[in-house]
Amino acid sequence: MPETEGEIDLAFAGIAELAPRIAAGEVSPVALTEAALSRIEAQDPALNAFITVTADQAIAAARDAEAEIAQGRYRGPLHGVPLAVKDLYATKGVRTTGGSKLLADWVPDHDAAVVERLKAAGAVLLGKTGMHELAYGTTSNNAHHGPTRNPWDLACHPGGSSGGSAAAVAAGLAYGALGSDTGASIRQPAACCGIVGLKPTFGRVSKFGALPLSWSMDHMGPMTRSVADAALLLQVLAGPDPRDPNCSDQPVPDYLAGLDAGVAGKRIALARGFFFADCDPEVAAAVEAAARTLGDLGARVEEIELPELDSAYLVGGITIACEATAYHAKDLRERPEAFSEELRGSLELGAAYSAVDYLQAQRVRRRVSEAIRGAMAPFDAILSPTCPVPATPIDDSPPWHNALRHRNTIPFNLTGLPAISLPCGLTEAGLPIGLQIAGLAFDEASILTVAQAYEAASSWQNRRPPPIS
Amino acid sequence: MTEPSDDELQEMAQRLLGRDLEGAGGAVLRARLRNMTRVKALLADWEGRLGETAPMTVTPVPVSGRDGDAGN
Repeated sequence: MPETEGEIDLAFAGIAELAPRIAAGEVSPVALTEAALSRIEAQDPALNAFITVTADQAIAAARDAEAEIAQGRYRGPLHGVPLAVKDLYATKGVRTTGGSKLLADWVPDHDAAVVERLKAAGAVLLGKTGMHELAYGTTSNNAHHGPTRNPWDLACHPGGSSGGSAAAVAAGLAYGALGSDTGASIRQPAACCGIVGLKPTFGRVSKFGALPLSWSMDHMGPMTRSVADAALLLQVLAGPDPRDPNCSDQPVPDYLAGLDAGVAGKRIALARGFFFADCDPEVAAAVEAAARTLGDLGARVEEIELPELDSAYLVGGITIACEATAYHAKDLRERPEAFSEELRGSLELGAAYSAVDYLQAQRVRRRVSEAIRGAMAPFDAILSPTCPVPATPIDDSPPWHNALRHRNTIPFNLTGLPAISLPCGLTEAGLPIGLQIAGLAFDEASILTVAQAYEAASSWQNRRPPPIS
Repeated sequence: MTEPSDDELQEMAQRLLGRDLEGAGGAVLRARLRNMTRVKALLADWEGRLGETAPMTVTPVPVSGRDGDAGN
């Protein structure tokens, strides 16, 4: 199949564009999958986005999809679409490492809930993507598998921890991917790689079968090249699951129904203060321009400051540290050599907090969450930079970026509120900038609508990273 | 609050981790140690203001209406 067919560049086509053509038999899932696997073979040696490529299974799944569609059994918009899965999700019969030496040889006998849902929707899974070790970090510079590289500049990190998923989607190796987000890990790599990343409300998507980092902070969600594709994936991923005690039985709305409703009359806040402190000037300017664009589209844009964000940032940090250390306590004691020096140190620090510290932090968390939710309640959406700084060279990242890369995103993990990142600019050096749009609990539809309106009015999602030779 | 000096961070690393901060991952650990100092100060600051506040528990986020209802 040619890489460009009709008006569509097939490598970078959106799922929403491809789906009707797949359904009509105009685009072959087998050809799409073979082309995606060829691109992985050609480009992944430079990117290192994948830990495991499941070529044979992908071709078999694509053949099944093609046959079903030909027989009139079309399952929906993901049917026959090649996707990638972060290597923290259990995949039946396929090695699942978590980016760790601990799990180097683990072949699960079950699928994570989100993988089950993708398979049931007929998606073709290309393989497992690279990540920061056990999801505890924001660069995807993995001590065991090597660094994943940013397609916009191979010398730079792609963000993390879902850096492999972000790089694969940005480079056109997959049409979408699963990420997970405990403090930043869907939205920040999405921002660094110029794609869309959606962290849904806590409980919206099942965590069953996802390797935990922090039970109360972990969120599962999609990474795509457009807002519409994020909505399509969320539609499949969302819903109750009794196997995840935190999963909600809130009804799942139709995320596509109001996607193009526009922002006229909507009340949107640009959150200043905390979110713009120490912000790269190019990032700040791009986000301010995005807010003006939404104003031009008819939204009522106001500037506000959300309360208690310094506390949210610190309480998020201790919560992740304690919960991650608790989860890995046995392995940390019995197999410390299986952790990188960086991760082992991080987990040992988690053990240095007391039970009283953790509980006091959860008391603060309640107060902080109530204050933030209350301040957000009058608005349809809250805008901020996703990450105050763009990606930096893998081997030469300023030390203070370690505290900044997750700073603007972690408040929405602590509160459990939904947030999406989408491209809103490029730096002079050609690195992507992300706009974060956060909303109220279980109101993903509103932030998707705002994101869609901005995306339609801008052209950033059409920019592509330079070809990888 | 005053940020810990490099020497203080090194002392913390030796005390808590039994190592210095020059090896692999040193920059990450330095940031986490600095945060730990800030967390301890933050919790001390909040202690007198928490009153009867119960800890947030690991449960689904409640549906919070626009009228400010924010239970858990």
